[in-house]
Amino acid sequence: MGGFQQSILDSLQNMGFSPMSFSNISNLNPEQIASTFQDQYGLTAENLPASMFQGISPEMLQGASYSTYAPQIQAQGQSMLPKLYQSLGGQAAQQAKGGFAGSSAFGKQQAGARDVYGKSMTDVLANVRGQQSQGMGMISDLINQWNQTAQRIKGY
Amino acid sequence: MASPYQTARISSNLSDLLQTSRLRGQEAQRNTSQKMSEMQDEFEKEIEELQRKAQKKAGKNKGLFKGLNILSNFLLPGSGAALKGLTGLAQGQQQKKGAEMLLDKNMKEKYGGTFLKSGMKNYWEQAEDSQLSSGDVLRGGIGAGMSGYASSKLFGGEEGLFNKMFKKPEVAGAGLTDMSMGADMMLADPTMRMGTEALSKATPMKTLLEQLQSFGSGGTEGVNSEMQKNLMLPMLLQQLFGGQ
Repeated sequence: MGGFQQSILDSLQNMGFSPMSFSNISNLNPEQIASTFQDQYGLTAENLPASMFQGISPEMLQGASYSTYAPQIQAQGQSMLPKLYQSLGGQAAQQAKGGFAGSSAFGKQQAGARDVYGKSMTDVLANVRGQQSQGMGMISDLINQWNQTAQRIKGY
Repeated sequence: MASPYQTARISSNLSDLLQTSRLRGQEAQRNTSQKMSEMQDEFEKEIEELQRKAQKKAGKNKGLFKGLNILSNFLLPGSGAALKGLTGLAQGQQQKKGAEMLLDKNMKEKYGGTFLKSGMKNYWEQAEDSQLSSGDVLRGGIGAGMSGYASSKLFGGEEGLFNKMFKKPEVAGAGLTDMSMGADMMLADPTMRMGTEALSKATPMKTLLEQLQSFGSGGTEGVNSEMQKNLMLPMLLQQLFGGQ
């Protein structure tokens, strides 16, 4: 998701904003946004007032941050751990082992357990990734909207 | 470790956020359209106002100029030409100033860089086309002077048509009647008060009819000259009685 964040920061810079970190983008206020686009498109404050722009809210930034979703990954991962543990070392494993730790049945059983855990975790991560991506998309859409507003007033 | 409730709350917050963001996006588009519409209205109003002011400026003292133009027709050719020429110059100068008012640079700066730039460009081109140069004003003045000379030669002076039409017959104490003579003057003039026969014979309409009759019957002298004068009569009457 670092690539997406970077592309948002790059597009902001291309629009004339000073370089900033991703966590600071919610500090951009409507006056700064309007002023940047006025300079960029040669428009006046009368034609492009600050009231036409909405800044990026802290909630939006939160929606695009990994830290928001980390507890979800942690929670779901941990809920699966006992099952994995049981699969790898519990009664079923003992039966599969049949006294020989290196037997092929034991190996197959361990691989199967890892696959099940891995698939579940992959689903969790994909889900979280999707949510974070939606949060990022929201910010990206808002920035594009600023640009479109200025372009419409300019007549492009 | 996050509880299932916390996890559900995160998803729910995100959905709310997405919905809010979508609504705000629509609102922003509406605001932009509204702003554009306001700018368009303002632009049209400013142009109308500018044109109104320019017209007012160009038409200032219109009545006075009209009066002077009429007056110049009845003066001696030289004076008529000078008066009409000067009036034409002054009128041209005023029209020039009025046309200059159309070229409002602030307005060009305000709208020239926006979506209204094509409208502004059209307006600016039209306003530039309507500008008058000093040469135009001078030419207008000279033209007016020449026309003043011609018309005062026809209507003004001793031999002018106006004099012929409104001249009282050669009776003792009778002079030229004046169309613009006020009631006081009319009462002060004994010939007017007493209503002499000579005066009753010398009304403008009567003179006009006589002139037309003499032209109709072939006349005895200066037929061409009379015809030329009679042809100018409607013009004279139009100017005298308001040009409506």
